[in-house]
Amino acid sequence: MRVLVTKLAPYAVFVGVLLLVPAVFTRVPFFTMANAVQMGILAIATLGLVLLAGFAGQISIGQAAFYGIGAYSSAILTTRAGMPPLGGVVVGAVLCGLAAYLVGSFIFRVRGHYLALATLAFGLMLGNIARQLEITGGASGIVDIPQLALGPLIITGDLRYYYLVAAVLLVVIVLARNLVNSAFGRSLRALGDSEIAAASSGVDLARHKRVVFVVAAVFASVAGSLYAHWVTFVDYHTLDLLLSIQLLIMATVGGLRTVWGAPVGAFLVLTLSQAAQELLPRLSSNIGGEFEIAVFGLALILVLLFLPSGVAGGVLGLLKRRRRTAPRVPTDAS
Amino acid sequence: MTDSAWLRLVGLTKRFGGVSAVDDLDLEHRAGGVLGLIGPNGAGKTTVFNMLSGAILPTSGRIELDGHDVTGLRPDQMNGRGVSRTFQNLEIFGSLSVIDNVLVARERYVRGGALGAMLGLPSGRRAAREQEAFARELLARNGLVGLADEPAASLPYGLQRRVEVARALASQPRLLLLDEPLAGLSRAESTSFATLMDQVTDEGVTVLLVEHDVTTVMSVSDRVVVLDHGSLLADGPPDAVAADPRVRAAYLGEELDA
Repeated sequence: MRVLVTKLAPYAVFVGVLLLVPAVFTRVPFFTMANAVQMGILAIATLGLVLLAGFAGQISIGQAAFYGIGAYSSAILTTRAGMPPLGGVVVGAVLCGLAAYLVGSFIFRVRGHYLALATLAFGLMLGNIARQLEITGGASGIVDIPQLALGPLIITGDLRYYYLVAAVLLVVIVLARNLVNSAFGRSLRALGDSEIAAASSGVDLARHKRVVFVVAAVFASVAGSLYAHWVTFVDYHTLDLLLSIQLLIMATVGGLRTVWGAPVGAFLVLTLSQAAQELLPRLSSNIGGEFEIAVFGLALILVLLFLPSGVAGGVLGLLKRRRRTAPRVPTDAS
Repeated sequence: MTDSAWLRLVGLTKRFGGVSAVDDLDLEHRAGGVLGLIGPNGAGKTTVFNMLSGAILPTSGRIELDGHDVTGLRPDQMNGRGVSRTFQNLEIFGSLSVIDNVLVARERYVRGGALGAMLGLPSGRRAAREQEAFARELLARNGLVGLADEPAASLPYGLQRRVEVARALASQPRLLLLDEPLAGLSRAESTSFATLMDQVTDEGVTVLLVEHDVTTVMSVSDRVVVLDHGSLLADGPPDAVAADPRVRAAYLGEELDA
């Protein structure tokens, strides 16, 4: 019983926070529920990167590519093939999983840091293809994507959409935590620390990396689909390199070595971005929104300097140290 | 003799660019005991070691283990064949606890897959508990009692070396490759090394020991092989090898008395 309570406590706290968001975001003038939806969606995509970069030590600069595949799958299948939105979400996720499996099968057989380059190329290539093809709507993209519906219930309005996104975020966090805390997850952290030692201990590096790469891609795809059905419009910007970098920044700011880094990072970076957009033009009329990226960079540098394990990682570290210094109950007499 | 050879290197060669680090090396060894591999710097010891563990591919030649050709297998596949190793410059999993370092080498016994793990299926839980008990016992036998849940990175150097040995033993290897296991250890820590060697070989594990400290190699090995410029220079019981004038010449007056 006590074990179950300590096991579920983090989730209870997280659900509490998720439920508090609407109360805060609808009252504080700075935020809107649309911000909350965006944070939730990007947290889902960032979570995949936390697993991949944080736990397995593999840097991907193409997370937006899988986000884009999800968004475009939803858009194309619902507007051109008459599929229900949920079908678009599922097909997109399956496509992403397959694409990641194929890319991963080639990349991870080679030693070295080729993943960053390969995912960068993959993302740029997909962006160009999406801009050229007719089926993706060319440069103007695809409009009038139907809103998400669960059976007859169409989810309209930012508040309802937020609850949906929050539920999905909770599910992927549970999945990710289960993975991280399993024997498989232990091997992932091991190979993130030392590949040669992990391999010599029997860990099949290529297989482990490929599995996380697929999981990260599927998470990104679901996030992309959720985005497409929310804004009901998609163009090649969803595949943008800038988004891939933004997701990496979110993962780093939040904390790469904890699944909680994803929601924390998405919240912090988007809040900062919003603040920059509002405040910078007020300081001087010459400063525009393009300075936003400089603010991201500054935030990243500050976190790397003062909180190398990210904000969530730093807070968890503090909690752990507290627990350590507290008198320990002798559990095992070894 | 040939038929009972358990580990066999046939014409094993490794070239880096134009330089032969290991040149047409033939070696046979029966199962059991400690095989010491020594030689001056650049003799090719580490290269042989790395080929045996699957870390690098031979340019040509063959490695046979228990009658099977294992040439060109990856490190994890070599581990599956019963070969495990330690590292000269410690490669512990710094972000893991001591017991988790050992448990990584036991993942294959906790099947259930990534998908099952994500969904929280109970399939692997019993196996996981069994492995944890195995790991705790292994830690106790390697002088790491009470440290199981400490972060491995927080241990002093000598204890981290023990964690590495425990991790290598966790795979229950038939061939244990030790790369400079005494580097950086104090005299007291080195003394317990001989005890460890006895313990390991008593369990039927064959040890291949690459070590700079020739005195220790001579005292713990059952057989010593000397490499020089990638080729076999001498081979035999420790005292015979130590007395070999060619070996003495190669080491140019270094202390060789066993």
